Amino acid sequence: MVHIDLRQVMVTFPQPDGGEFLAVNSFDLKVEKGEFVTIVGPSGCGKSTILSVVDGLIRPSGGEALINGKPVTGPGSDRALVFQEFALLPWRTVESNIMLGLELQHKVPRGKIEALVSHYIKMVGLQGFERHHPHQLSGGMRQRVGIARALAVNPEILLMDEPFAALDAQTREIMSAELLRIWEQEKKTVLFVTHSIDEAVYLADRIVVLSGCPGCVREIIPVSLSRPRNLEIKDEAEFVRLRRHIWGLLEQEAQRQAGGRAGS
Amino acid sequence: MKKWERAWIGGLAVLIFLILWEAAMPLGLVKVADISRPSLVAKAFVELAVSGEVFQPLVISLKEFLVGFVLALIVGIPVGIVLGRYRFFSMLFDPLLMALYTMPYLAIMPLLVVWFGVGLGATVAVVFLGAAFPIVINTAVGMREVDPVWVRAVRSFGGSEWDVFRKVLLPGSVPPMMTGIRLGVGRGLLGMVVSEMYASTEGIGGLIGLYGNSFRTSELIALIAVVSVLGFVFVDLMRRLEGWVNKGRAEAQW
Amino acid sequence: MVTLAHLYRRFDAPFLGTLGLVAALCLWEIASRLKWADPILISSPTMVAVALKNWAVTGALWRDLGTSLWELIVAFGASAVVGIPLGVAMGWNRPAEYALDPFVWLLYSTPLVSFWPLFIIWLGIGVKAIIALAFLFSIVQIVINTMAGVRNIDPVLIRCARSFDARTIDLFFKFTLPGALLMIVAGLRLALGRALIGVVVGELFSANAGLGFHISYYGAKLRFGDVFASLFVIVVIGVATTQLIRLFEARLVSWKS
Ligand SMILES: Nc1ncnc2c1ncn2[C@@H]1O[C@H](COP(=O)(O)OP(=O)(O)O)[C@@H](O)[C@H]1O
Ligand SMILES: [Mg+2]
Repeated sequence: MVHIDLRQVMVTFPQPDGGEFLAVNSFDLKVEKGEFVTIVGPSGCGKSTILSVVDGLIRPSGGEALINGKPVTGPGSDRALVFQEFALLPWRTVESNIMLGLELQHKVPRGKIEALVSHYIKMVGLQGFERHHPHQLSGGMRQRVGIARALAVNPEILLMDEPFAALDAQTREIMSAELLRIWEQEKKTVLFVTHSIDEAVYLADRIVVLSGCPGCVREIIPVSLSRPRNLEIKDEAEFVRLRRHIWGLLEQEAQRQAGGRAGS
Repeated sequence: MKKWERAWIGGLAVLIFLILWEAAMPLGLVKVADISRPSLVAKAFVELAVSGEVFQPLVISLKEFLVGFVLALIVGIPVGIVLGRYRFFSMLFDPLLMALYTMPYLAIMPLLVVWFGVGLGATVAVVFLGAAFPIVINTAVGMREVDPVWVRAVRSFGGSEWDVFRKVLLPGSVPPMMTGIRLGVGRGLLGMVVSEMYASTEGIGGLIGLYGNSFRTSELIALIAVVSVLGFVFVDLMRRLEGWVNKGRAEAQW
Repeated sequence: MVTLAHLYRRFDAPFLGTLGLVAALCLWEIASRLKWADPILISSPTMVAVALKNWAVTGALWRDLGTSLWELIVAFGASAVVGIPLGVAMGWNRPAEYALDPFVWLLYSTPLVSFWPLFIIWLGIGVKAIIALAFLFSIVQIVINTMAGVRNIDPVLIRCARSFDARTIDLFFKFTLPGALLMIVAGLRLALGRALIGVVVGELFSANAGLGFHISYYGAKLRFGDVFASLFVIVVIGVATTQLIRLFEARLVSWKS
């Protein structure tokens, strides 16, 4: 069953000089329920914008975005966003940051929030840190809070915008393994934006490779690696082949961009 | 459209304010002697300008301000550089400077009048005191907070201490120095008006005191407007200079 | 082994700082004693101490202190009550900012003391005019800081709030206000210093009690020991009230440290 259906989505931003800036151009993507789709592409190619469209933060200027066949009209509790910058409230504790979404949506009664929060604290492995403030946590732990906060509102779709980009390489690997473990339990539909080819292959059922032209799909690559996956999978021939293939696609982009910049 | 929003909403608000002010007296809400009216203030302003009564005090005020302010620059920047550059001096003088900075410089007006004489002397002194402290302190802080990575970069390329000073510390401390100078302008102008109102009948402040004492509200408000514009022009000038300096750097990085 | 050199290196900043202060005081005392300058004009630390003691003993100190503190508290309190909502409105609502902006910036760059004669005309010479002047000094700072605090909230937090479909009232009370709180309190701290200046200047111009009055009264009599005593008390008030707010600020940012 198709869960997210993006048809010919186009996004333009008004520019100070009165012109329009084309950030995403006729983007097509169908995501099945429970599917894990990653999006890779050079920076500035419109990845965050696409996530914002699905989340309902940005209305497409052309085409349409459908969730379960219905057009997106704005943010809703069936979707939750995880941010690269974590976007935690620094003055709130871990516990109360995870509560935030539930509080804002006014759907779950106060009494039930506590139990939900402690459930998700356990799921992301933050027991013992309930009363800590974000600045006392490492980057990886902060993003665990961000993920727990998103999961706590029980969305059907998890939108992740380069969630591990601010973490060091090792933490990154651990976090993506953790994410897969949680996803196996929760079976959400996930749209995951990343810069890292390894991460994209390791996590995905399908990989969308974007090219530099605003939000153009270069190729959509199915990943046939078996699940559940562990980190050793990165040595398998299929993984290595996929990585090399995507690298090839992106390298052309990177060279074009670098060439373009040197010329200007 | 969006670009003009600020201008037209602001303009409209000012217009409404002026209309209400103009109408307040005819509506019998207040006595005209108390708050005057924009039309009377405009008339008073024109009369002050035409008779030339406002110009000589304005020149005196500007002269006092500029002398005090330039002195503050001449003394403040080198002192700030020394305090920012040499840890020994900053450790020796920081608490003393802070104690003096905390003291409201306007409160020593009666002393300045005796020490430097009513008029030019006292006003120059209070402008100097007001402006010098923020200049010294911001310059010193600016030199101290220059990113040590730059210093290391210059040293690693075999640069001398003089190179470090000239190529990194001095240019690096310009933005905070500019902030100090802008703060100094505001404090200096305030000192100028206080001094003239307190002790002398000279200058624009003296004129304000004069018309205040005779309850001539329209002239008084016209003069406040003059001082206001003066302050606005100076502060805006400094802000532009600050923006220009910072913009030059942002571009220079590429 | 701990040598004197070690000790010096460890405590050089407080040591040298104290040395600087003490040396300045000694220099002042010596200059006065040896008549390098007229002792009447420059006074001396001992003369100031004596003046301070006499002022306290007669009880006049407490009356002057009470007067000035009362004016300070009323002016500062009123400016916070009016200024914070104004600043919040300006930071929160674009048209409100555009409408109030010209007035705020004009007041920000005007030497505010020029309003003094108007206050005298409206409120008469005395406590009311002094409070009005201090109010004006203080409120500009509060409005500007509050507006900046509300405006400068991290955009990614706003994106987060919108993503959770937050109601406007939640956006305000759970994101904007707590995010702006530090800036607002910092504004209050600066404003308190400005209010104190307003009180002192007002009293300098016209009063029959208060610390500023003490300055102008004894200044006219060339009793500069008493003038410096008054300055000393003003500095103590300034530092004490500022530290009080700093303590409060430190508690507010307990989540940071
Ligand atoms: N609110 C906005 N206004 C104007 N331009 C924007 C806005 N958001 C993004 N853009 C521009 O759209 C392009 C795509 O942005 P984004 O989706 O953030 O890229 P990515 O996430 O792939 O790095 C960029 O060139 C960016 O500068
Ligand atoms: Mg992005």
